[in-house]
Amino acid sequence: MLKKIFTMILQNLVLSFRNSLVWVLFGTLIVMIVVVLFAMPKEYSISQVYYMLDNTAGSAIESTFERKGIEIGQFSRDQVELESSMKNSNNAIGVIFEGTMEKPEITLMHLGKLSEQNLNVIKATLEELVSSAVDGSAKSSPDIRFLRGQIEPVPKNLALVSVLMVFEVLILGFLLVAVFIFQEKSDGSIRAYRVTPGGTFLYISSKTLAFLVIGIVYGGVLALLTMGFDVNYLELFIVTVLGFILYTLIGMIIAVFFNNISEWFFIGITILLINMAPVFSHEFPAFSPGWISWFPSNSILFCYDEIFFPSGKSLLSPILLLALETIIAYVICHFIVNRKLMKEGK
Amino acid sequence: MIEVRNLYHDYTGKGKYAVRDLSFEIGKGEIFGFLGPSGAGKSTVQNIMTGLLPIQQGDVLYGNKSVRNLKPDFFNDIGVSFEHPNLYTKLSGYENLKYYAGLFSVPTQDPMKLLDMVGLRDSAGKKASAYSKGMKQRLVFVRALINKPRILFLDEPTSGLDPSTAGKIKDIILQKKREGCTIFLTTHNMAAADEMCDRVAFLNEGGIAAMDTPRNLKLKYGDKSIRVEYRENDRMFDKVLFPAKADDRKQLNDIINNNEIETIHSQEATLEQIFIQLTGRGLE
Repeated sequence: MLKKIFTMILQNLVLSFRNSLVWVLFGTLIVMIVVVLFAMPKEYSISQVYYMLDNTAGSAIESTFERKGIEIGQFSRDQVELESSMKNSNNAIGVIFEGTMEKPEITLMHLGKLSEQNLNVIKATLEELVSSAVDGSAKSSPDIRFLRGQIEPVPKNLALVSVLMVFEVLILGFLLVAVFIFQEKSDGSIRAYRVTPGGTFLYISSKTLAFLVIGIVYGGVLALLTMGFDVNYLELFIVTVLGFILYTLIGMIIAVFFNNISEWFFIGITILLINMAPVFSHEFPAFSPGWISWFPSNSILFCYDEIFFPSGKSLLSPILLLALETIIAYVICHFIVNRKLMKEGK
Repeated sequence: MIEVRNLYHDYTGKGKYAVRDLSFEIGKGEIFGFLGPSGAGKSTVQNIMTGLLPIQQGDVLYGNKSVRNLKPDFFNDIGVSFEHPNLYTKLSGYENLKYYAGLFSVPTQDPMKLLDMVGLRDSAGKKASAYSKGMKQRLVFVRALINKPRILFLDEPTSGLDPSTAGKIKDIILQKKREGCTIFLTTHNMAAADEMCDRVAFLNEGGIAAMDTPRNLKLKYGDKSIRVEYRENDRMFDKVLFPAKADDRKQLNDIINNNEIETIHSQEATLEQIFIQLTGRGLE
């Protein structure tokens, strides 16, 4: 059996490196590395700049803030200066305090780029700040307690590596297996395979392992050149192997139902796009509906984040879940490939 | 050795049978020709015999084992040559054979030796996509021999080949027979079947119209004729006469006794003529 698997892996690797898709993907790898390392900034958060005008009697708020060392922005002398200062910055927010120190009325001015929710949050924060300054409880910055150890902020360019690992590296098997099945159907070489003792297990395992070799090299190079050596490569290997096999099996389950790339395209691409839904909750944590956790890509993304930027969470549970998903995918894949691909007239 | 019993197959599931009540046996070391036009059901029978199509009704037995219960090891004993070349076009001829050999659990033949047998040694390193149709056909044929099979299924093995190459392929088939290989030959080339097969079955619309040795079929269904060219009053005449008919016998005697004979030959009916006679249709 080992001889057969080795032969088939070798054959699939030779065929892969004679397929232009693989070279296009390796070109993409170089582009991804260059973008992550040189084109993307480490931080692209937008910080708000506050310009304030205190119209309360005796500029009570301004003097209280000064006395208590509260620095949230620069105070202007009058509305003309306030508006002039705001014009110099795209992210400026103007704050006008009126009324009394005890019962301030706050008016916000902005350049129309903030949502109602954000404006309400800013207003509430400022009211709380003034109120706490009056009763003496104001602090220049809030207390922060960390449930786990404090971790370094993740540079934005490197945060992208997790996303690339899931949606570029792991889906390689999904795409390659489809291309190979269509080529074998078109050449008719699948018919020749059917009359050998090879069988379904050898067919699935040899393709999966051959593409896995490519995937490991692909993902390994991406991780090494972007994240360096300070990564738990054992965990990275385990997650990549399981994730890659899972996506290759899913790719095979889908591809056997089609005869060529044109027939497959709509369904294949739709599945890939749906699979990318967890990217939104990864980039915007406020968006994390329960159903997102049902996507295998969600837990894999979590695993990569934890591997690249450890926060002390255990990966055992998501890895076991991934292994279970992979086993289920294999059982389904074996059944479907045996019925649809290993027999004639299906 | 191979027994096909009351085989039926219906692709549609609506009682429209591609194969109907087919039964025949093939002895060890026999070349059995399965002859018929396109759509007659030849490939369906071959696919059922090789386990590629599930049996719906009837049975195929190898020794005493039904094809329903065959294990993957069965494929170590058979070789299948397909009518349409089905190769990995991005692999060379040599690689196609080398990787294919790796799938078997029995000793295999040297790919280069096989390529040499069909005149492809010089093209061994060329990608199969660069091969001509005839070269691909030869490569598919020798691929079927790679595992030294005991049973060969050959689907139109000489189709599209020039007479010299077709002759080489026929020689190899006959050599395999001498080595004890059982051969199931599917073709619509009656001349090739006549030349190589021990027995043939005429397949028509999913059923067997006739089955016997080519000689017996000719004796049974083909009327012998005599073709005579003779000169009468300085003019040449050419006639085909059937000695079985009293009128033709009398006419032949008259020609021999009263005219100058230029040539005279006895003629046998061809398998193709017999097929047309039995089925009322041609082979194309």
